[in-house]
Amino acid sequence: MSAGHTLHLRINGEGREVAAHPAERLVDVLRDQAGFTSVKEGCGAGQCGACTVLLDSRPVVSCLVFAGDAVGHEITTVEGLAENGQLHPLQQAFINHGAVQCGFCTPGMLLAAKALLDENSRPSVEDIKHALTGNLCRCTGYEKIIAAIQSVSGAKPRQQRASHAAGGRGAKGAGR
Amino acid sequence: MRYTAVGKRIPRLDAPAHVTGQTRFAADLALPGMVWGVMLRSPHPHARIRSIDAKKASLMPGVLAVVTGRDFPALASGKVRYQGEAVAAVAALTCDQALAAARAIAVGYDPLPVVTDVRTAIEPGAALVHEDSRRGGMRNVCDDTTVKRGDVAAGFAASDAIFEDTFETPWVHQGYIEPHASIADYNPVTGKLSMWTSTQAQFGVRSSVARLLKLPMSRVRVVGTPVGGGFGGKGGVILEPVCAELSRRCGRPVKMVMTREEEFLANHPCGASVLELKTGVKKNGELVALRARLLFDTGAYGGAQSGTGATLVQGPYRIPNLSVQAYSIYTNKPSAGARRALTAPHVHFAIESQLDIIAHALGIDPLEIRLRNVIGKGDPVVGNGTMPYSLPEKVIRAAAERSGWGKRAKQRRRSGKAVGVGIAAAHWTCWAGGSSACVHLNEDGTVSVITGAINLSGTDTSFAQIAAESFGVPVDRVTVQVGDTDTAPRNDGSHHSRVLFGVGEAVRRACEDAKRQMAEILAGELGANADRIEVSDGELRAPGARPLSLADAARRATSYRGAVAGRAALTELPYAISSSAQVAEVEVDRETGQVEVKRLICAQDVGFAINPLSVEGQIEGGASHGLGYALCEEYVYDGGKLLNPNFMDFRMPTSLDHPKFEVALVEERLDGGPFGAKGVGEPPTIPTAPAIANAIFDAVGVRVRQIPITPERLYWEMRRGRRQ
Repeated sequence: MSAGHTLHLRINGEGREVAAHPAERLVDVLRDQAGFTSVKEGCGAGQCGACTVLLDSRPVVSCLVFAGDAVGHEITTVEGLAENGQLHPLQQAFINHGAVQCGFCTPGMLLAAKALLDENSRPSVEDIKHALTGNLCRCTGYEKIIAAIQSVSGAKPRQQRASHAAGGRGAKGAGR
Repeated sequence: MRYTAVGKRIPRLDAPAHVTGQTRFAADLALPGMVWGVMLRSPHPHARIRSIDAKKASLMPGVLAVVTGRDFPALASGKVRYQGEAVAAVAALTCDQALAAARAIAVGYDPLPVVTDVRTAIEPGAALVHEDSRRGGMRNVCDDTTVKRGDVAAGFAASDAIFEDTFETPWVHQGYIEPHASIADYNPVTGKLSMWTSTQAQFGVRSSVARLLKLPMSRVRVVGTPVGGGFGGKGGVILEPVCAELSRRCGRPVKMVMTREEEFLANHPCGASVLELKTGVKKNGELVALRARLLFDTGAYGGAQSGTGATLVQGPYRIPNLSVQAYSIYTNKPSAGARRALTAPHVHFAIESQLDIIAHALGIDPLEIRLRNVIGKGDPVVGNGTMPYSLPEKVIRAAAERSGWGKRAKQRRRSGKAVGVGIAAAHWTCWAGGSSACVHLNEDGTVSVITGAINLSGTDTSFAQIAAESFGVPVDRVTVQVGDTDTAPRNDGSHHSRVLFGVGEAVRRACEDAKRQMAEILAGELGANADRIEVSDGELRAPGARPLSLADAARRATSYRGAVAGRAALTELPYAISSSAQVAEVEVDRETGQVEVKRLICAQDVGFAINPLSVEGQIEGGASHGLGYALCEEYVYDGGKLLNPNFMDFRMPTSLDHPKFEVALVEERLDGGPFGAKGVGEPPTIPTAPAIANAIFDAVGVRVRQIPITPERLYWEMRRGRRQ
């Protein structure tokens, strides 16, 4: 399908020319043409979230996006999260909290979490749960993923929040 | 004993690769010249194959090889026995070409009557899935198991009350997010086949592929790639033999990746069951006799459920008189596999629900009736000698205590919703199987561990901790490598909660072997008897000599002997019993039947948590599977055709459906695993569904005997007002 077609994509801050037809799925172009195999395909129907990438700052399931529709937008995959060899705080938190088991949902999960924090730096647990509804994880039961995201958000962890409230320090920074 | 490495919360060593997208799963790999393979699958659940014509397909553009059941035994021939069974396969230059060619293969089918329900499958006159499956008066029997103990008739005669109930559990997929994928590369010059595949059991794949392709095992190399979730579903052979045969025929590497629909239709999901229990009890709740008939739906080519199921029906309880008949029954469904504890979640849903029914009927607290009957030291365990300890009681008490059982406020009907609490316990065993490991001491005092055990649950990290503890070095001085079937010593597959328990003990013993070798090599130089030389805390110490650092000792030992290579293999570890108990708190919407689990307390006997972070992760994830099993996951069939082979209609719990998990570990080092550890992956899935079902009964007074307890199912049960 790609014969003769070239797409100009911006992936993780760099311009890339890939031999692909605009009607190819973005997930295939990213994986097969551009070599970003962190973008996982779990269902091919937009139901598992493993192929999540950011289009500008919005999480999309790349199995349901035409590659042509990504032209002119900034695509972020998990390879683009670390900066200057330093892991993004979310990546480090996922490691530290045991939020990673088999690792297959992890890239999509991280990008969904990043999109949330970029929009809302102090999400409540409920906010986090809602932001992850499109990303299935079958290993963790989500507990440690939620804890990891909480740990890098501006909100105080759950337990501290309770004691702060009791200490009369008010609701500032206490999430919702 | 103060430990420096084991017992610590250490993040998984593979996590940095996972979070940066560097982990290469099977579908991420590509070889030069690689082509695509696809299967042609049957649209019929049961049909005779009248004809198959692949001539047109083999001439289509890009097609390199076509194989059918006529010329390869891993494909259906004669008839198909489930929807999605593979009848032919194609290799072509591109995936689209392969799919087009597969569609062009003409298969003539004569549909046959479809066998869908185990209850009717066994009756006279039922169609036969396999011709040779008549047993006594029953049809479609794959295997059966009988367990007898005591005198059941006398037990019922001595009982004050008898309870008869039937329970049903559904077909479910393991639900891992990584679809199975395989790459085969047959080299026609050397005659060697190499495979990269998403499997829990690379040595099992090697033996099956070698047998089906008639190759010596030494000509088959299987590389188990990182597994994106298995949970039992990748424990058997899947695409590998056909992928290998395609590669052999076209002389090029062939890649095959299952679609999600193929995963649901044609992998090894967990089979359904119908479980009939008749239980006699004394007025005080003491269990006296149990007669059970267990029908496990094994699908088209499954098997082996009846043996495990029959031995589990006692659960964690003393029952002096038992008579159990268990059957694995063929139907026109996929080949049933395991999903986190083969048959145990099924059987425990039945026995733990019925125990709750009994408790309520006799006016006994559900916790109390469990403590009254719980198995203790010296009590017989079906097929497994006697109980070596009384840990099940500790586990049940730990769950109850953590939940505040009995102290909970009776806050019913809050905002129109009913709240309830339920408890359930479970019995499981972990099995070492064939376990082995090699441990190499490098010249700089670092340690390399090699096993053939696929890392599913973070076992590699635990192995590093075990080796670090054995030598007294920091964990980051140890590397753990899962070798392929050519380079690693043979291991059984990663299932049955066995890897940490069995292979972990092999790693520990291999470390001891390496230390012993070092002592023997250096004994002469140090002028000490090797038996008196000790390696610990990163040093080698001999009486009367200055301690050597491990690096120093390793450098000398390797220069004298060439290598320090410890090894261990074992099969003899006795089974370790691993108990779990859970308390669920639920909120039920009386109008809609919607159930929300608010809290799930998970207590488990883990022996010793080598890595508490991993152990918690396993328990939370295991209970998450139990949550889906209880409330939302099921294969929906219409005449043997699956209606919901996708994640939208096969509903797995999402981030919104999970309660707060609370994990309570019981740690007593009474078994033979490394440092007293035992397997933890399966037990947490077992008691979740009955704990939730019992909590639902507590909330609304309705007993649902069939899972999943979907809002619709509970709504109708509430409408019917059926009360127990």
